[in-house]
This record gives sequence, C-alpha cells and structure tokens, in this order.
Amino acid sequence: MESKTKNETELVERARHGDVKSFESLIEMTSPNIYNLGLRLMRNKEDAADIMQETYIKAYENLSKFKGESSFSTWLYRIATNNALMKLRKEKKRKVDTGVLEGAADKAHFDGLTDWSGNPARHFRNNELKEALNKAVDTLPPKYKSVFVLHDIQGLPIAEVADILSLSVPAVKTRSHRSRLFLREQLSEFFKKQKNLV
Amino acid sequence: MHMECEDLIRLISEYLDDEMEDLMRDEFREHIYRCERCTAILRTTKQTIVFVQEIHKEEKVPATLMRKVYYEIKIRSKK
Repeated sequence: MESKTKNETELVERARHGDVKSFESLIEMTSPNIYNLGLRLMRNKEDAADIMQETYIKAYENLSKFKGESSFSTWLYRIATNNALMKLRKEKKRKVDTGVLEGAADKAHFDGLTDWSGNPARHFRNNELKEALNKAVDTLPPKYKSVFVLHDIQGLPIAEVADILSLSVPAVKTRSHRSRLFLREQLSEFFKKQKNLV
Repeated sequence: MHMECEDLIRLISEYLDDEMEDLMRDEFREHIYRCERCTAILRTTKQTIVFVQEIHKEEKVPATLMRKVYYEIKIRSKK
C-alpha cells in the first residue's frame, strides 16, 4: 500500500511537470475504480463513461491545484462523485423521503420476525430480487446513495468516504446505517410478497 | 449495562464495520445470543450488503473508453 502511494505521488509529480505518460499510468491505475463508481451510482454505461472521461479531463486540467492533502485516488473519487451527484440530482426517478430513511430503524424494531438470510446462492439467481434491490438503491436520495456506494460497494473506509464527500465521520456513519436499514427493509418487504405468492 | 433491542439496531452498522469497542461488542453478542429477532435483523442487514455487492460486481473498463480518455488528455497536453 505504501509503495502504491509512493508510486502514485511520483507519477503525479511527473505529470505535473508535463509528463503525459505518467498521467496515463495514473489513469490505468485508477480507472477501474472510477468507472465502476460511475456505473454503480448511475447504473448505465453511458453515464459511467461520461463521468470517467470528465473526471480525468478535470483532474488533468487542475493538476496544479492538487495539493496532496489527500491521496490522488481520493481526489479523483471526489471529482467523480461530485460529477455523479450533479447528474443524480437532475434525475427524474422518484426518491424516498429522508424521513422514511430516518424511520427505517424503528421499522426494523417492529418488523415481523423474518429471517430470509438463508440460502443466498439461490437468491443470487433470482432476477426479481436483483430488480427489487436495484430499484431500492435507486430510490435512495443522492446524498445517501453516494455514501452507500462508496462505503458498501466500493469498499472504502468511513474516514475516506467522509474525506471524499467533505462530511464528518458521524454524518457518514448515520447515512450508511440508515441506507442499510432501509434497503434491508425493502428486501424484507420483497420476501414477504414472494412468500404470499407461493 | 443491559443492551435493549433498539440499542442493538442503532449499533448494527458499527458492529458490521468492526468499529465497536471490546466491551460493547461483548454486550452486543450477548444480546444477539438471546434475542432471535435481533439475530434476524443482524443477519438480514449483513445479507442485504452481500446481495448489493453481488449484483454490482466490478466490470472491466471498455477499451474504447480508455482510448477515448487517453486521446482527450493528449489533445489537452498539446495546448
């Protein structure tokens, strides 16, 4: 990890001095994360491609402004996420009310005792489940969705997510927790409906 | 301190993220051990995350997109 960061810092330094090959190496190193972030936030390849392209152009044009206070990858994540958030806010898709997310914890408490966690392999093949889950993730308001995707799908630590989104660590934790409980509740509803259909 | 169900639900993410202090973790586990409802909530929350990760597996960056990005950078480097 340390040598990766060192390598990244050296490449940024060289790119700053006009070495395009070094910037290309940075793109090669970081593009899987940036492309997949766009894909997971937007859920379509065209927007993911736009986000990736715009992110690298913006990063290249603003290299002199990169102060190295966070890692280059974190800085890129920040550019890409801000770009995606702007697109997400323009989306016409229905979003769940923040109050509903806040209430997901109470709902979990009074939820019927349903444990559908068994036999995950069978569920992975269930296309209706995939559809229901994607739909639920899409109804998360952008400020929740970005936290959920960065932390739970991209696998970034809470502190890095906070850095990317310029939020406090407790704010990230709250949004992550509410998103998880909301999605869990949506899946519980899905399994309840499926059970009633049998 | 005796952990109640609502405390446990509030702390689920902290537990899943492995950000809980030892003493608290012990109390959390003790509650889970005796509460079927909270066990179900913990398991299904964990499973929800696994499902989302499973359906959002990493995809390869298309080669055409990589070429396009390199091209855009090259143009800008000559300006």
